[in-house]
Amino acid sequence: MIVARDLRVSRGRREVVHGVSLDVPAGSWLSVVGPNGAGKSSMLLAIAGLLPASGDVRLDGGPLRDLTVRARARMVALVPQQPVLPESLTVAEYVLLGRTPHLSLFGSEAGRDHEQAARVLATVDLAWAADRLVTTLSGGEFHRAVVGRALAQEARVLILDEPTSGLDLGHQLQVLELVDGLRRRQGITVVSAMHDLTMAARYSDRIALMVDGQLVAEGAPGQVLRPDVLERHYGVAVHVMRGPNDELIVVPANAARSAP
Amino acid sequence: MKHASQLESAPLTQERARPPAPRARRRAVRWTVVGVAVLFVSVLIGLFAGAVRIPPMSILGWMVGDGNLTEQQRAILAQLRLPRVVLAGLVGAALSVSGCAYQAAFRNPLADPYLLGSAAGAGLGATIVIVLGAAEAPFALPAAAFLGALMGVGLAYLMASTRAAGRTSTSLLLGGVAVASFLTAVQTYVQQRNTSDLREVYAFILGRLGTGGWHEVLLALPWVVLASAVLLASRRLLEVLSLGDLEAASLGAHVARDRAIVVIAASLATAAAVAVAGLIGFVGLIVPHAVRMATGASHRLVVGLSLLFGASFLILCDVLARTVVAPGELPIGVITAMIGAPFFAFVLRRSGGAR
Repeated sequence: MIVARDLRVSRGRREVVHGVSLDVPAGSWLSVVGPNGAGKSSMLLAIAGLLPASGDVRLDGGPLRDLTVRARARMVALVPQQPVLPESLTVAEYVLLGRTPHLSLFGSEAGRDHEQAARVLATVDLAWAADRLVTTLSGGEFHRAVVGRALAQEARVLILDEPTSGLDLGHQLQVLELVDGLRRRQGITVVSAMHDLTMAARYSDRIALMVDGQLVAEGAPGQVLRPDVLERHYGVAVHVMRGPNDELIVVPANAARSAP
Repeated sequence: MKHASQLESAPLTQERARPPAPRARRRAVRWTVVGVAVLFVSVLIGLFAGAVRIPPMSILGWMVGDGNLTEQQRAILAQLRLPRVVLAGLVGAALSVSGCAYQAAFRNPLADPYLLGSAAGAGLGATIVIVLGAAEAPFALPAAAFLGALMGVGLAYLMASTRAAGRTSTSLLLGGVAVASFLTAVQTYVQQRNTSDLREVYAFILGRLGTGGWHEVLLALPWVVLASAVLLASRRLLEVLSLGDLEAASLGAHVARDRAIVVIAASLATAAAVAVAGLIGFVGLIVPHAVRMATGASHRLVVGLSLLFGASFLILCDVLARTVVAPGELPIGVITAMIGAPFFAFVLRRSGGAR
């Protein structure tokens, strides 16, 4: 359970998140959507304790700011927007870096850490690539390795900052299905920033629409992803339709206007 | 998804879970053996090279406490060649491991041990002692260089550690550049006011192992051992830091503190090396890169291998420095640059650049 109250984040002298409050129940998936520059990433990083912020963030009832850096990393794991691709690490070594919060300052991995990494590699379907260099993975496979590294932290909260940016449709689905499966099986709480509204609607329990550093709408996908709301905040007309399985599909109403 | 069917048919067993990273482990063992072997051969060559010819087999015998050497040959080996070889190895190891640590901690492939103003500080310290005419006093020159190097790094840290500077690796790098420029300017000023000591100042700046004896070895040894031990213990930390501040913090690293540990240890090793051998360029830059390119290994392995190959590299460079124009001697900094640059180009071409 994540509870944020009056969260304010500044980048330099400029406040980019203005007093946001939200609740994310344990085991649910909240997607934060909104135009570029709305402050989505800043808010996510503040919830993860990775950006200084004022206000109050509580994880499972305890204040985030009372946690040590390591304790926090055991509770919250981040899948960054553009993860650094290390030059010379094998996939297994990369996933093992997720064990950092479970090790002492100069400690190195023991048998239990290797077992956990091997389990995670199987979960993200990369056991076959354990010995390969991460630089040889495809974009989708590398994203799965990043999710694997986050899982190796054994955190109950997973923060995904635009987890599918730069991925083709198939790879987007692979990553999102993976996270969704984990959430269902292991009860992990997921907070993600998403650009693709159809994908956000498909995987999230709730959607928060963020504009200019503030939440302007929050609720079930059908409540937030309404043509009038989206047109007002994105500046384009959209159609919101239902697919064959009653899923929400958001498409621009006018292709010419959709690319300003 | 690839091999998904294989996974289903081979569920996660204990055997599957055990091997951590066999490829990485095999690579570590293989290259460590190569590194130790190369170091051993380098030491032999270092002991063999010199005006008085001593057969290699006799040197081997002497090394295991045996052999049929004359008293004079024993003295040459024990009092002249061995301390110089050990000093070269120590300095080469210190500079290489510091370079490796700086490159990872700052995520900058151009980072070298002299980055944060340690060279400029050491140069200033040494210059002051030389122009004061105190260079002959025991330990005065190395002590001044050591303190100067630490002062340079300390100033760079002070500049970067203000809230306005953001305490980032970039602000530390910029602080280092500013401190180095300032201290070099002061050093040049002092040097120009005392041109009679120019030759001695240059000898320091170009690096020297010629005056090295057991005194210098003992002076540098504790610091180099301590710093190397810290850096070896931090090799996993280096891997985490090399992911950048955000990802390292998300993994539970205390980024500012952890980087400080690495930088302080590396600076200590650098200061000790500079104190006893002057400024020997290129070693800290090229050895870690060459090791990384040749082995394809991660920071974790490169730290230890840099110690081994850095020691070997400088021992062999020193052999060249004292044999190429014998009985004269070239400044070792000239050799490291003349060998280092083409060698680096070769490795760069062969590996197709940094992986």
